[in-house]
Amino acid sequence: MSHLEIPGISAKWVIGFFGLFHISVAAMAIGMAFIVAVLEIYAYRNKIRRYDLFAKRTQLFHVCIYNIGTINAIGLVFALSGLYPQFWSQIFVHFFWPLIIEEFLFFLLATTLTFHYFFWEHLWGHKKLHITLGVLLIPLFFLQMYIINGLGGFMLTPGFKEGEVSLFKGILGYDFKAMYNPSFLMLQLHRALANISYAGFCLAGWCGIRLYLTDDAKKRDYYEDCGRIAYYIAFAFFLSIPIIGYFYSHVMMKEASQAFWDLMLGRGDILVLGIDTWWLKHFLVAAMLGSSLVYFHRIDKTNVPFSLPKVMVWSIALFYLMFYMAMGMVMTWLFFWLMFIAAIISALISLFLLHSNKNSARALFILLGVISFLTVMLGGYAREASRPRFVDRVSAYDNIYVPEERSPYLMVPVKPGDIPIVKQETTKEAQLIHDRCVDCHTLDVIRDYKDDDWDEVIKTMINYGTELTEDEAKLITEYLKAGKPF
Amino acid sequence: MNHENTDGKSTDTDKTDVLINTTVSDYDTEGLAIKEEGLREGKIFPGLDADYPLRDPSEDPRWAVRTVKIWMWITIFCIVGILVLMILGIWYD
Ligand code: HEC
Repeated sequence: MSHLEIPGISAKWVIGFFGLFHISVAAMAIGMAFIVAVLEIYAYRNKIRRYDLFAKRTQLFHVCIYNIGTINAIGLVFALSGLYPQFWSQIFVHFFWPLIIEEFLFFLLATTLTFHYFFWEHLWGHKKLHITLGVLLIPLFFLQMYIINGLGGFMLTPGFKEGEVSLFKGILGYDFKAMYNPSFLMLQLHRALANISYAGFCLAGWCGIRLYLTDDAKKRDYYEDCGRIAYYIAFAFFLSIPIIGYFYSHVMMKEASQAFWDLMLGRGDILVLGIDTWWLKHFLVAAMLGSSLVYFHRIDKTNVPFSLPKVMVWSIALFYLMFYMAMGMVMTWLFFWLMFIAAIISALISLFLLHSNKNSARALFILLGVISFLTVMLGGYAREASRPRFVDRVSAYDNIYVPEERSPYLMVPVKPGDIPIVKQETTKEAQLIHDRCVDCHTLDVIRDYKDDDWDEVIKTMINYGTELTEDEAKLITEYLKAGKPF
Repeated sequence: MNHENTDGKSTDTDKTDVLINTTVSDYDTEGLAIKEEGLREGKIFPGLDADYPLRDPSEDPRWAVRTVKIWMWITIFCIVGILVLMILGIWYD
């Protein structure tokens, strides 16, 4: 069967573009909803007008990007439907009911957000009502992210092993096991915190730009102040992300080994133009840590609200030093040293930027905004690029998604019992390969291997920890050498 | 109501305060013109030093309050409904 193709760009990169664009906007929108609510409540409780103003202007920005983001999401849906029809229709059948709720949430969000922004000035006599409306955006956004992360997690860790298709017996269009897959929780936590942090850094970056554009002392004070609050919120949420990331990668090691090793070793699409996107992302994370510690260490002098006491700054520094040392122990010391150097360099750069701007954080705000944007882009990219591709436009995580087994759902109403279980004639050797070789990567890795030195490969795999007796190793080696199917 | 000054430095900005704290109706062209002039001259950057402009609930347009109240309850109801569905989904998958 032939497929649609986009000249020059290729289907893969079209999806990549829409996906990245979507991440950049959607993540910011979710974070902004949270930050606006915090600012509005804080302003109300302390009766400080400027924070309310900042909340309102943030919400205006949010309204704009929300619209852009949803339209982009529709673009993604269009592109996927045309370019990856089988994958897309399968995932829509598989997750039909969660996606219907997702769509309904889009409707609730668009309306609530619009009301919240455009009724701002009308409700000064009912401020609590207005705040409540804004706060409602948080559970709405959270639910939306919660559902879509079920799909996102599923594409990385489907929740069942190769060949073990989950023929759900309950409600058609909702598969509990696939939705609450192994990486679901980690993806959820990681994204929830990262969204807020990312939005905060971007807001601070926006304040930084405004600081460059105004000479008015009052306005500068205002942007310095608001930028600091945004930064503070961003940093607070940023802090736990690396820890969650560690547990996330642990889950991946067990449940999505190929993706895990692709990330660790920088294989496949993780490398873009020779640059390892995952390691680069980690440099940037360490750099954000270094810059932020310098910033909060500096502003403590002026004793302003939303600053961290020095002892806290040093404690965080110490904690992360230990964290990265632990990472060095479990991964490679190279990781520790490179991250350490990245943090130190960025701390020095930040010191210089603060100093050369007479302690105004404008340059630092912009720098952090840019870095956090890049971090989100690189992280989002690496995550999707690491997992096995949907080969030949048919969703195939090797055989997890067996199209033959799924297709009846797409055409006629069937009871699960009516679905024929595809029985393949397997040899003993093929069975052995299916049993022993999928713990760390998919079978595609073996099928795609072009060389002939199977003795070497099997030896290496045994060194990596594959459980094989000598006889079994011999059997498999001969079988693979003969080029027989499995 | 509630025009107490939190930072206590607004005696010379009284006029500005009035401008900021008054919600100018979209149909009040004269008011809008004054406000716009203030903005253009850079005299006011709404809210920098201004009071937190709470006002009496009766001053809010009733249609706005009603719309938002109704919508808020619809949204809350929908959120609860979705949560119930998701919890039921634990057993009925
Ligand atoms: C304990 C984990 C583990 C198991 C089990 C395992 N492998 Fe691997 N395999 C790896 C890792 C890690 C790599 C990537 C290492 C590399 O690229 O050098 C890999 C890569 C490969 C490659 C690609 C090598 C290359 O140079 O591109 C082949 C082929 C392969 N494995 C075959 C097998 C076969 C056959 C089995 C079953 C007998 C198996 N593997 C079981 C860990 C494992």
